Amino acid sequence: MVSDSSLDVLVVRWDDESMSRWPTVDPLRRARVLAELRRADTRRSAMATPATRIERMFDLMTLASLLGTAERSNSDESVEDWRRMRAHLREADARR
Amino acid sequence: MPGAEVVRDVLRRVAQLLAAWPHPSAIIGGIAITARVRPRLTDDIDLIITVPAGSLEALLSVARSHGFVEEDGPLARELAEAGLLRLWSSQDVDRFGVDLIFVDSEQLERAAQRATTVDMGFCQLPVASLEDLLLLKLEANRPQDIDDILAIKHAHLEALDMDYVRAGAERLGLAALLATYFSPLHPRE
Repeated sequence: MVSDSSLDVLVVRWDDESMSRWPTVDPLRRARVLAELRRADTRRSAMATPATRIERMFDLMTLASLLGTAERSNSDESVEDWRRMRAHLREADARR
Repeated sequence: MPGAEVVRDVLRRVAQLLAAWPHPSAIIGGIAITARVRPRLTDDIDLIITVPAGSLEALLSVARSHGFVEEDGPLARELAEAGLLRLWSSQDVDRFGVDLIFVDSEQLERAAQRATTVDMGFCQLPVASLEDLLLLKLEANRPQDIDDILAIKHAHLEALDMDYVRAGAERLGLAALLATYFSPLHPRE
């Protein structure tokens, strides 16, 4: 699945044997492999249609609800984020 | 978090609202990232919208006609006057929020103007371009934004108009931040 000589990782097989050996892998290498898997997943997702992606988003929402892991954003925090962004964008306009 | 059917219905109504509003707008945030890059969780719909001076009541009227209710209270009204309107899909508990950010800067104006229509299967939405999403994500630069920046880079690096991104980052004072995420020293990132 992953081929990357610079990381000294040739193949990651998601079978029981790999998983049982996983804890012995160097943490940095494990992080790099996971990052590479994530990049590959992102690239695969980007090749799908928007309609497919939005259906997968709905699947994620359903899963998050079932697992109880969905978090509501902090309303005050998002207002502050907006204020900060607005101020910065307007400052950029003023500088020009 | 509301179920998929609730969110699907809200997106459909947002699409109808935006089609009825005769000024440029663009979906940003998690829905835009899902539309253009990869699926990810989000708990609201963020969009930027052009609202000419004196048109807030007209916008509210269009929103209400599509079943939305605006957040109430002094703070919500103050925010709406300043350029952030929070709508809810209904008054039910199982509701979904829509944040409308009014265009009041050059970058937001560009993002709204450059948005293109994306077919989501059950509705069509104006979605900000990858380049404008990237610039807005750089501007926000929270952990989720960094994740989105890297996802855009990993999936679409060769398709990005980097001249536009660099010019925008320069204009916004974000050139150093852009270089951090797009540095050739980290070609794999």
